Amino acid sequence: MRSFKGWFRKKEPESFPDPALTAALRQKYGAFRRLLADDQEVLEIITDLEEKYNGEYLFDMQYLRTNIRRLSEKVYNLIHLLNEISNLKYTDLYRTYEQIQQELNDLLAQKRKIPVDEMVLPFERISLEKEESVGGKMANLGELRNRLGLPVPRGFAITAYAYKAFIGYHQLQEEISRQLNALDINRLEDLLVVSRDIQERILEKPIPPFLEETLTKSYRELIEKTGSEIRVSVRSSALGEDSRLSFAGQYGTVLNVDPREIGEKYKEILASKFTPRAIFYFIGKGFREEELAMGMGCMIMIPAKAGGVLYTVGPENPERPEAVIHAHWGLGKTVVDGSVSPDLFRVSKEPPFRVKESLPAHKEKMMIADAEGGIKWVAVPLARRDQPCLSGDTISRLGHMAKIIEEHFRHPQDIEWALDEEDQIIFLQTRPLKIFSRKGNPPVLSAEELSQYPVLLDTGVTGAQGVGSGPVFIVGQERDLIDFPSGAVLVAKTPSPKWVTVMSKAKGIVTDLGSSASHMAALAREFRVPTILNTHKATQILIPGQEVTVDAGQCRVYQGQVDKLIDYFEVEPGNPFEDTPLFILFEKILNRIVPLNLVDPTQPDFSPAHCRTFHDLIRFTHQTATQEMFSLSHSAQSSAGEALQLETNLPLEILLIDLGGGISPLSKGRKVKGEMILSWPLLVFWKGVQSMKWPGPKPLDMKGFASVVAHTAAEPGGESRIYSEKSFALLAADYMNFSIRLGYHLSTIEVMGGAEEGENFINFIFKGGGATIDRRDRRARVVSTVLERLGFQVNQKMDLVDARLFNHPRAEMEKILLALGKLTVYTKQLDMVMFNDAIVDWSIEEFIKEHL
Amino acid sequence: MAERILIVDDEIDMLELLELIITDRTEYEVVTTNSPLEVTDLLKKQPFDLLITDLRMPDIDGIELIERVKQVDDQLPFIIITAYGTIESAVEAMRKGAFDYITKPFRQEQILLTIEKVMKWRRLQKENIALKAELEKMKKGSDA
Repeated sequence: MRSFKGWFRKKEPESFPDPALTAALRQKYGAFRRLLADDQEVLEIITDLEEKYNGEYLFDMQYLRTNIRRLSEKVYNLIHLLNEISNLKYTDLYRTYEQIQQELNDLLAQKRKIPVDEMVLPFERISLEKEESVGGKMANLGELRNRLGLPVPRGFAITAYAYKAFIGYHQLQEEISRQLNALDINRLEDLLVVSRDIQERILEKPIPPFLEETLTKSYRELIEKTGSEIRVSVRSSALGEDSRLSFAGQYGTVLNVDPREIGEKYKEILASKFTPRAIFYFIGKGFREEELAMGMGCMIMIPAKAGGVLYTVGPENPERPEAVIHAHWGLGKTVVDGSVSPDLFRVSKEPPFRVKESLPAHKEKMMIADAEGGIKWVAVPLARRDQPCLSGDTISRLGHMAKIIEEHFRHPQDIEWALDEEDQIIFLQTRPLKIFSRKGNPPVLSAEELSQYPVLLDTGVTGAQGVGSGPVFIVGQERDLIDFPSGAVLVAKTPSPKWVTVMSKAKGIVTDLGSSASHMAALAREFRVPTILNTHKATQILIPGQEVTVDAGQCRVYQGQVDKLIDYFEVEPGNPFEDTPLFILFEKILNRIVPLNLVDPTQPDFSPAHCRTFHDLIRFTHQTATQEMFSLSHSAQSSAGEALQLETNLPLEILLIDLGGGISPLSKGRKVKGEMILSWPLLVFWKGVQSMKWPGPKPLDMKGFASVVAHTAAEPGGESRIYSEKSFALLAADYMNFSIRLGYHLSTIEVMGGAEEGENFINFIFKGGGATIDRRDRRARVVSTVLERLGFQVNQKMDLVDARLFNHPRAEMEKILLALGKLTVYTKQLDMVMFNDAIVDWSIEEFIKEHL
Repeated sequence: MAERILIVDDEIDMLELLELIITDRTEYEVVTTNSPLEVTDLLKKQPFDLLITDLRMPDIDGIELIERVKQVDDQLPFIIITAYGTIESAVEAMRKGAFDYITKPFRQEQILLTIEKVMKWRRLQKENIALKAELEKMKKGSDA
């Protein structure tokens, strides 16, 4: 290809374009225009889908099918048009498209296929993409090991396909379905019978020979790799488990197993899926049994010096940048199941990861792996009973890891870990942490109110936030649950996940022992039952039948029904549909559509091979099509099109294509001086841009900074690199189509401003990025309000602003375009300061006062 | 006794979302079915104050369902839910006496407000019937 310099020098200013080349260029320009239009439309569909996902709307499968089909067609068009523009350079994109399309079709058909896979997969080969095969727990563990390089035990996963083979080999499916379908889960007695029957059927069947063989081979390999006699733990990893609903403790884990017994333990865990509480749990949540095929993990047993749980945010104060650690000597299992009162540490998630709080517990006994197999309780040596079981250094390391893991999964996590003899932290599992936060401060009771509602208990730790009121019901044994009345407060000595069967009826839970890291607490958060743990004396102080109010946040139990507190906590609980099958499906669909992996066009991974979602395909086609228009003019080696660069002092690279009469023929070289521009829309718009002070960083609050950083972290090089991204303007004498990228914002301004008023229009589309949704939304509101003042018809959907203005005379349009130039610069860093609604109003006023 | 709403839609997901939001945000009792053929039986068995029905369903469509419902209870108010783009049938439904119609997808507030309007009207309607009966009784008394 000849250089720009070369063909500009050769070119005669008055030379007439080659008609064939001009025709080809015009045709491609036509395709490009259609591509731009489709690009806007797909962005609108995606924004609409995201809006529906926030829980404000009710919709059905029909809505999903229709919109996904529209979206698919448009994305196909984009690929087709890009290939038309580029002479079939990007046909690879069709393959990615087909694959995503197929996945979406399967999801929409609600076919939950158990993927055909190997029966066993070593951890080295597992990541999140294998979730459907190995279950959420193992997929997350693989992600920790293979994507984040964090230490996890050696091991392998037994896939859902192995489950299918087992059930299929013994023809168990039909019988199980029949029994579950006939069951009324509100009758606890029937639940027990069905559960026992299904479990027995599974346990009496032998492991099929082909599975037996694969398991034997796998643990032999594990022994070879480890180089010594080992024991393993076998952990359930059901499909659907750990992805959204926590299913905490619902399915079994067996620790310290002789590898020769893996087959037996495998069956035991399969059977554990059908305990009464597990059946209740997944039928109650609307899942069908065949959707819950089971994966499993076998990993070498870590002889833990200490272990426990790491919450990447504190359930009480999720907004603080702190992680919370519960730890105990020996196996962390005791912390997870709530059978001990652990040490509690708070640690900053910001370097240098300082320990903020250290509350060691008195630890009398601990659980360890028994040399004979299994696990056992032993006494904690006297000297270590009151000693914290983690050093400051280990706590800081956990704080650091909390930050890494949370950022990777983009959601607070509930992580189980172990500390081995060499003080190495090893991760055993991670899953989303259920939290819900509330705005404003809870009401404070006056002295008079306190005399009316005496405080019965004022101690313990919060297991799940909220306030609930009802009569006390003390639970000693599992069978007591059968009589648990609706609306009562459950009081017991130790927490147990078995209580899930009454959680939909309970107004509160108060226990003598346990920690917020227990399975039961995770379930309570999921069912939103206000829960206080570790009060030491609830069962002694609270009397059966006594009316009480549980304020879990304050760890207080009041006598009587304190309406003031109850009312405060009965506010909107967020998206009420979050856990419905439709929304779970919707989320999976959006996962194939919305995430953007292709962020930086200058990086080598900005390529068809790295497109994983529709959004990637959309971004790639738009970016590449715009670039193709330029390379087209590069290679044309004639005056058919000219790729030039606007000369400017601003840190922006703006490339210009002249479609006829947009740039003076007297312009020489690649750089175009401002005065050489003939396209009036660009002249006026650019005047607006240049009249503004280029925004330096405004003062910003820490949250603002964090929210912007969190969204730029995925983009290597940060903002400075983004500036190197090109903006493009297609010009004619009275036409401009300008896609201007400033930081993360993309504004597209299309102007037709001829003599015919009736044909004139301005389209202004603004799409933001680089901050949290609410900040983007606020910024979009500033833009919308100003545009409305300018006379646009504005349609704002979340952070997408689509504004149109028609039939204005040129003189009017000039004023408006000047203001748009100013507005474009003004919005550049707005989201850095958009920390509350008052700023929105202030910004609008400031802009209108100074610039309109 | 709590007022009762019967919801008919062949899409179980829609039924679930509607039931969730209504029971979560109001005091009304909700019964749902994804089989329009079952509706007349349900109405015969127990009284309802409002019927919310989808317009397009596989067994019988909403318009046909309205006809059948009227034969059992011609006083029962109903709200029609239509998919985007089927406004014509919604107009027909309104002609047949639907209290209102609502187009999918819709905001939570939209359906809750519409239900509130119907229920207010329903209470007036019941009061009206009771007063009329009273009047009849008085009339008969004075005639005698």
